[in-house]
Amino acid sequence: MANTIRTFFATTRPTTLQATTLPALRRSGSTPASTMLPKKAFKTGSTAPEPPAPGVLRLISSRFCPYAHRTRLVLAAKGIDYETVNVCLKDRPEWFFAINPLAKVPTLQHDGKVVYESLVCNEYLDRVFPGRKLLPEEPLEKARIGMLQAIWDAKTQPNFMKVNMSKGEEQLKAFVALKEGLTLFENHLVTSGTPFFGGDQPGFLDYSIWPWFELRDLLLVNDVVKLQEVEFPKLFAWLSAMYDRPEVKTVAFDLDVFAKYVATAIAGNPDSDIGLGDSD
Amino acid sequence: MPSERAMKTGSACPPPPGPGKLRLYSMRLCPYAERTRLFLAAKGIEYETVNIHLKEKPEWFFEKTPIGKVPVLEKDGKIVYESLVCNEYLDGIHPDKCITPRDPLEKARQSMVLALWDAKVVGFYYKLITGKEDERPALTKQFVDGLQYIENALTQPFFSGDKAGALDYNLWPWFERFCMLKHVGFELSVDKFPKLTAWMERMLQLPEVKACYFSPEVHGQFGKSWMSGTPDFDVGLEE
Repeated sequence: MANTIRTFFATTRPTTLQATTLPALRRSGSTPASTMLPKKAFKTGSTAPEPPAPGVLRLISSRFCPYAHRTRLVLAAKGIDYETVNVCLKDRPEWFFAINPLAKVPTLQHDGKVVYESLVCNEYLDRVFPGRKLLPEEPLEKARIGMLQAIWDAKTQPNFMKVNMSKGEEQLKAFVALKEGLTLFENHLVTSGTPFFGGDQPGFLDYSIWPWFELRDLLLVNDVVKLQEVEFPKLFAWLSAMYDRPEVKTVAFDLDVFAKYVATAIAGNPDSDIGLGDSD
Repeated sequence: MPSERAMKTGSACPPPPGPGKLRLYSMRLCPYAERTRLFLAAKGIEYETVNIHLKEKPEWFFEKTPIGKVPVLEKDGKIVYESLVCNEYLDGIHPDKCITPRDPLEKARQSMVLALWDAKVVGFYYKLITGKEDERPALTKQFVDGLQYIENALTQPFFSGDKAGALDYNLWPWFERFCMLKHVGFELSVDKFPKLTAWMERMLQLPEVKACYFSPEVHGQFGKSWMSGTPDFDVGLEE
């Protein structure tokens, strides 16, 4: 198991300390009772939690949000410790707007600094924290990531959602559009000859698009809109390779719980605390 | 001298730019393309322009970019599209006179201001211009409320500090077009927006802004032609 490195900000640059010397700091998933943060989402009317302790990175998140998942993946990939505060996205707490005027997840808080927007968070984490770099330095390589991201935003992700939310003829049209959008990603892997968009290991773009692939069985529900390996051999190989990654496994959605969450959303009352125990 | 006229559907694809030459695919009045023209001007980079007719796009344009939008950069067989991606790319290949902030937190801050702009301001800007008269009071309020976030983000002479930088150039094009909001009843008030008003005056003094600038008259003519259904992408060009 890789050493988890805890990183702190000095005034000018981060200093790195071993996890064991800092018992007051919380690792995601194991919180000492004296500084317990609930897993249940903070809602409208709630009291704001205390700001994170000095040196502690806090992720304001939502358990079922694919955008927050992008940042969870990068945090896991870089071995960064953090604590999580979940917020209800249907009934947002007023205090959240004071931190981020858009009141969206993910939002990072660290020693008074606030960063929001998933890809802004991810680039920030990549540049400020040590470890494997997820964004390429070479300008054209970096631009290629940005262009694929634009294709994802314009042609691919919206069609994942459209396929999910439409029926019949409209759904089939959206599925064709989705496959066109995915072909550009398939072609990139054919040209690069690498297993991941980041090369031999996943990078910025892999983590950015992964959440929708992890959720694809919940998004592409009909048999007529299932993606076929024969049409996207490189993407299917990429899927396998991503599932094998420890960081993907660490933060993976529980699809059974996610399906229950979707059911509550369809019923008109999304319950982002679904699956949590009373003491969470 | 190559034509500035917008190339349309059915046009022949222009030959690629010569070795080492940078080409910008653009539209003269497009604010997103202006972001990249501002970077090019600020960095003193030479380039040639091919303008694209955005309603009747040439088929060959989609071979260069599957999204079919301007701006697009082409150099030595390499293609880059998306205004912000183009701008960072220009800083990457011409690292002297770097405009994109090097500090990660400052870069994040500038990106977040752009996110606020996209979420709270720019949509209402377009809705005000294209919307109905009875919608204007509500839209104007939302636009003004959103603009306050941008006013608040301006804590120094420029968004980027003492000098204009990435965020200044990436926001400027819409402020250049604020004249278009006059006919829907909005003018930038120096009382409500003292910092933005002063910033606009500073920006208008900069040579790179002047180099990319179109007058309110030209913007107005373009806007009118757009609303009429037949946008004149060649507005202001002499025959």
